[in-house]
Amino acid sequence: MNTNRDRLRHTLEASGRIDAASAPLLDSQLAALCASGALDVVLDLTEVTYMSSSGMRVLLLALRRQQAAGGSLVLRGIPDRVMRVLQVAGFDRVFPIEGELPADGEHCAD
Amino acid sequence: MDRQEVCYASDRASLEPISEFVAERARLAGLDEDRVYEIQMATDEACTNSIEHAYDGRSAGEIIVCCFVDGQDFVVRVTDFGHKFDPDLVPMPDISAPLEERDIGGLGLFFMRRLVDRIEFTFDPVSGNHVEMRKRRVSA
Repeated sequence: MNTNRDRLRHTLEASGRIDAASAPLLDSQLAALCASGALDVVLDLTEVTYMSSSGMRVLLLALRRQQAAGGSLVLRGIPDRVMRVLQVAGFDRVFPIEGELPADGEHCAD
Repeated sequence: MDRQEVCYASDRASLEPISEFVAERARLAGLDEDRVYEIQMATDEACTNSIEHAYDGRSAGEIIVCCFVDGQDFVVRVTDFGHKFDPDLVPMPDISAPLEERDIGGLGLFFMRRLVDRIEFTFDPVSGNHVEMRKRRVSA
């Protein structure tokens, strides 16, 4: 009996604009990954140029889905401008994030 | 800089061309790339609200995006002719709440308010919903 089995990490790479038009596709990709039994998922955002609240909603849903399945969702390679927006909404406190964070916490209108 | 106005279908596929239009106008108005990103995102959220709420996802409506410069401000005005959007009825998201308590909605409006220097919502049964967002062209 293998009680110490490796948990494979599945990486999904997103790219381009993640807005209300494209967020449903990302959502279905993440849902399909979860349904296929992937427990630990890494979402690589290196090539993402923009993310709106529609995309952030998809991230939040995916995190809940993975956690409900006993797994995890890690964000990786978040571009600076996307990161600042995630920080404004407090997502950096909710998501495990791999990689460097921008030095200044936020850069938005005061 | 000239005032420019473009009319788009109330379709999610319009979001990218709207974003490109606003970015082009914002750069012409002298905004740096961080500010361009912020006004683009605020506009994207406003147009998403028009499509998803004012028009209930129907793509047969019109969204008019108007960009101009007013003194130190770059101004984007988004108009739709869907039903009345009342920002006061949208609860503000609790961004400090733990994950399991987080409401998934309200974030779009939250960003619109956070990303611009001034925002004003008006509604008229004939002339529609207007959202006017002002972003200072250079940081104060």
